[in-house]
Amino acid sequence: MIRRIAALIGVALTGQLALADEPIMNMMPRWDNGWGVQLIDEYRHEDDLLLGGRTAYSGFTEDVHLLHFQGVYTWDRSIRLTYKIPYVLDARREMPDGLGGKYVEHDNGIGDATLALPLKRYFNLDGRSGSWSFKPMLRVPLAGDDNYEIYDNKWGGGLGLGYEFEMHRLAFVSSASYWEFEDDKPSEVKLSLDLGYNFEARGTNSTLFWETDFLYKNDGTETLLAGPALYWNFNDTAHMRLEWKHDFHDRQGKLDHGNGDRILLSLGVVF
Amino acid sequence: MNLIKKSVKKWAAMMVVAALGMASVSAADGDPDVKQEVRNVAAVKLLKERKDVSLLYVKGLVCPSCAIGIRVKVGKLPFVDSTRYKRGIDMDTKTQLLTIALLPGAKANVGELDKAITNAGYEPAEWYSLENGKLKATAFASAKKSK
Repeated sequence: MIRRIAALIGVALTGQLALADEPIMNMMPRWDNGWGVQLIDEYRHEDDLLLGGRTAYSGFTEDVHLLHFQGVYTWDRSIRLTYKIPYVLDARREMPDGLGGKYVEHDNGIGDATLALPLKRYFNLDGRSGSWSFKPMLRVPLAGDDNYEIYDNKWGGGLGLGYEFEMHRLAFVSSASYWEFEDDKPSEVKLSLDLGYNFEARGTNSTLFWETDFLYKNDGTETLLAGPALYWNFNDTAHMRLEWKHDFHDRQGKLDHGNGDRILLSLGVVF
Repeated sequence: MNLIKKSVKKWAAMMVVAALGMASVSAADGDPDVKQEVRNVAAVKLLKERKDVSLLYVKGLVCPSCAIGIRVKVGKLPFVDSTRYKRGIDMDTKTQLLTIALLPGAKANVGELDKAITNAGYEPAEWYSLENGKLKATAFASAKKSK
């Protein structure tokens, strides 16, 4: 039994759903030679330790606090360059010790970076504006060694497709991406669908979204998470976004934490 | 397999509910695709009310955030009075009419406007003037090319 648990722990990987959104707030800058930076404070709490579709260890929690440093440069409106660098402020998870108890593992420090080259084709119609996008991506291993790994220090390559449009009141954003990693890290498929309602308040403008993400890994992991997000435009330069997502469906291909929630607060500036 | 089907069904149901919600909100707000006659009436009203301005119809200017790029690119043109409106720009997302404040005595350079709006990510369609009280619409060069 102890050997079995130890083996499960050995293969445990973190169910990290990398942020699918691109800086800044997934929309700016659309203009030539525009650039911006964004800081995201992410807090995640998972309630249980899952294996397959069942709860293997109820009440074995995981808490992860991350900062994401992101930036974008719009070369011309159809070509952007983006980077995302995560930093683990503190990650803590409870694992079974094989004797009926728990032990706690920690991780902190820089995570793996993601570079992307979103290529966009815009359309401007009477009452509707949007874009199609194609996005080659590269995962660059920067993470160090800790008790356990939020980011697992692997090279990866990804391709993304997106379609989005906005109207006077309605915003629609959809995307799909595929990731392949080195060694034995499972490949991933991510689907995302966001619906938003634009409104004006206090002399500025905002959007209230309902967002849904689905992650599938070829080890059998499936995560469906959804929740509201509020985008707020302070002025032309400063922007904010607050997002909450709940795991509506969680299935782990390997022993890992699930059934949780995440909250993200983003602050971005664009020029 | 059943679990996947169940989760996909749940997800689809959530999306349908959200889409219906959005559609009803959008419908309640009126048709966002403003007809040209409505835009023309709004353009005449604006041109009569406002002095020292250029009035343009720009395709794709459907959300207030869209104006950020316009303000970045158009706001720094030499004939724009950036002290008026918001950095010299006012827009109506329903009619997609863009008002540009001009410096006293200045004349808008149509070529520069065309280029600045295009570089901001949008399509300048036409600009308006009043001749004997009647609205005159002139197409931008880039709009003529794209036809």
